[in-house]
Amino acid sequence: MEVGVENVNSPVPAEAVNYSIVAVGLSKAFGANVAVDNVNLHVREGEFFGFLGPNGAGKSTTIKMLCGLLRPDAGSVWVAGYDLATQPLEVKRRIGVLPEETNLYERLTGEEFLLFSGQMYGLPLEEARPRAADLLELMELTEVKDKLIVDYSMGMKKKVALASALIHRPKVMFLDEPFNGIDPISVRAIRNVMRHLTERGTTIFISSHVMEVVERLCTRVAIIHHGRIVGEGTLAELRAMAQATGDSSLEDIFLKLVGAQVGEETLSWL
Amino acid sequence: MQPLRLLFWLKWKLMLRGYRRNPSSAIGAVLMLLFFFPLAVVLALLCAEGFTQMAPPNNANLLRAVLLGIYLLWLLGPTMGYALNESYDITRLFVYPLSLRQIFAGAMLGSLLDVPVLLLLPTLIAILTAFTRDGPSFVFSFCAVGLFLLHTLSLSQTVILAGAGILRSRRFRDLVTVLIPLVWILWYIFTQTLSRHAGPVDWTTLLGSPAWNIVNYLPPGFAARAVVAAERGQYVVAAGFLLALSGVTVGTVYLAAWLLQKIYAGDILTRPAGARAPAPPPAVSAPSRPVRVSSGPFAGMLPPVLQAVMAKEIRYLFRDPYFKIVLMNLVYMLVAAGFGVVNTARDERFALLSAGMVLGGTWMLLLGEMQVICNLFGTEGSAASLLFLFPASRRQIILGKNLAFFVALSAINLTFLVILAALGHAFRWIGLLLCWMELALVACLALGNLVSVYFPYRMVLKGWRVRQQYAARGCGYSLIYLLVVAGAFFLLLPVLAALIAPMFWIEPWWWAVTIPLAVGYALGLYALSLYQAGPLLERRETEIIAKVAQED
Repeated sequence: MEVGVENVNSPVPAEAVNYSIVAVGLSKAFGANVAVDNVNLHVREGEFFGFLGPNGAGKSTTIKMLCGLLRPDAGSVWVAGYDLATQPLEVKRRIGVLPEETNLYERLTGEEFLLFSGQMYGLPLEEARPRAADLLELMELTEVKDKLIVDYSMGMKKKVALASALIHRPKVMFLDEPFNGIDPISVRAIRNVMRHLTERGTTIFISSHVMEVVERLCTRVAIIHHGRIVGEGTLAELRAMAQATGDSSLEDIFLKLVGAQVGEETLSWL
Repeated sequence: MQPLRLLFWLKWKLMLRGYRRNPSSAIGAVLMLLFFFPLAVVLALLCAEGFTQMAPPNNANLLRAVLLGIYLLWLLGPTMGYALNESYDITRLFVYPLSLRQIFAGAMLGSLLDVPVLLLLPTLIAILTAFTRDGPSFVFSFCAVGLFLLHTLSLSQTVILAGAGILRSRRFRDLVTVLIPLVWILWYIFTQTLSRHAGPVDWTTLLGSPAWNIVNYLPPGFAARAVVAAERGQYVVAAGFLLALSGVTVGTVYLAAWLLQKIYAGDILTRPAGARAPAPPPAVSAPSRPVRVSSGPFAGMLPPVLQAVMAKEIRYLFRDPYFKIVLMNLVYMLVAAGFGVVNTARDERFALLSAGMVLGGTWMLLLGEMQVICNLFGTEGSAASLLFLFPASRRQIILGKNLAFFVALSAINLTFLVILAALGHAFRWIGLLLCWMELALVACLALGNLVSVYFPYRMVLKGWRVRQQYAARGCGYSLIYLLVVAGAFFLLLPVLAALIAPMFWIEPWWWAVTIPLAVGYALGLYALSLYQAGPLLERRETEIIAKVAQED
């Protein structure tokens, strides 16, 4: 299998109907620095798709382009069957996004923020209110629901951001480093939520450095390095691609595909 | 010395990199030097002329006055929100094995590199040249001026760093955004009231008074007396004052280190002896006081998006420090306009002029409100990326923001107008003036929608001062803002004409025709702007995020 996710090299709007996320020839440069270089992605409906890469590989830039927060220099994106360039609101109606940096309205309380989010997704207040209460309960934020988000810890902010991304029952979820700064109890809770969502047919596109979680949850994985996809497929396909042994972990495959040299030696003076 | 050398190097590197990464700020610094340095030289020449031409003890009094002026400027500058010396974030240095004294001394030395210090040099050189009689007097004067500079910078740094430390607490920050402008407003009222009753100053009496003598016992007084004593050949006296100045400078460094230790350790106030240590702070603060946002009887009729945006904006108007600062600016304008109106209202013959002054005051207020109206997304900051993730109608987002601002600014306008009309005995015009303000507000909102979409900029809160991010990006944005103000002026002319013309040039009953026409004009402008701004916003979302979500 060639590198580049089932290798689609031409715009394929017809195919977009069969996939939750389709990206074709996606590129983005910041000045002379090419952050994302001709990335092609096809993610099926209900798939738990992992997106891995070293720091600065282009993961967050790709996710921002997939959810319409950053305009690509080249390429096209279809999400839930809609062209992001021409129908951005239709796409946004169907996605939930948890960005790496939670950019929340910090001068609202947790509850106010969830109600605001619900209404912004078009939910009437009487429908948003019980959903917000349920989500606050699920995220164990009920006790602090009346406090301003600015006073929340990083983990609490992450949880309230995730709750906000879930309140409208999205068909596709983009999660950028969802486990950063979150305690193990909350990690477990979020993982359970995500598993439940995929069982219900929600597509999850997740970027994370926690290999163990990705390995356990994801049905397929893409690895990006220097802005290019260097590997994509199921764990078995990636193993074959990296010419790794049968018991190789995702971490081993990842290190091999990005060409990282991690020796056993350490600094003599340390 | 090694840590001090490293801290000085750090400051130098950060300054250079800052200019290199942001060429417009380097250009700004050069332009500032080109503009202000000649002024500083002229000021220094004037001082030198005064020092040499005035007979003793007047030249010594002038020297004290000049040093006192510099001292107060550096000391009070930071409290006005304009730090004359920028300081790096010292909390980043806390991981290293450095004492607070070393960190503070490094910050103080680093401040020697700042542009305002360069502008101060001509005056200090003028002091040295004017009061140098021979070699030893030069050495004494040089030491006195140098120590004075170090002491002033250290005190200024103490204020800046202590302020930054205290402002790490959100509650302090919120409080200070109101308190500091309030202090300056009260100061303005005090000076204005005093100047109305003050006669001409008798400088000879003032300079001989005990009040002026106090300066002798302040650091500027020590420095001035050391310089003057050295010029007169009284080297022992000069050495005594130098010693006192050195003591004060070293004492300032120690005091600053102690104060910073207290502040950055989270222990701002000393506890009385025997008092129990405070309990550790809770994980999160007390529940926020809810802002009851009543959407009124039409709440059920409004689409959820409109309700959500309006409720969020109104909550932010109460809670966001930026809006508190804007409100305090408007209060400051009210006070300034109030004094202007009171002056003209003293004489009954100037009743119409007084109404004109109130009208002028409303222009000032509108100009103040434009910074909010014309930058609807600037206060979103990083949350802009969240706002544009919602699949809501962009027109409804703009309309929601407009409605919230219209309600809040109308309340401010009405309060402003009632106070000004009362001060200016212009109550008979209040209906007309209120009509003018409301229609002008609608027209400005119309203009503001398009400006907000085309020229957004991030509002950055630095301590208790709001900095427009475009200020660091050269004068392009300032020019745009001037054009916007000019555009607003032309857009408002028909409204103004419709309200004023019947009063002076045609019969007053024509208001029955001109006012509905003006209402139609303002609403038409608004509808057109909303119609255009919705799709424009959809197209420009990513550009707006790039402008307002990332800090320079």
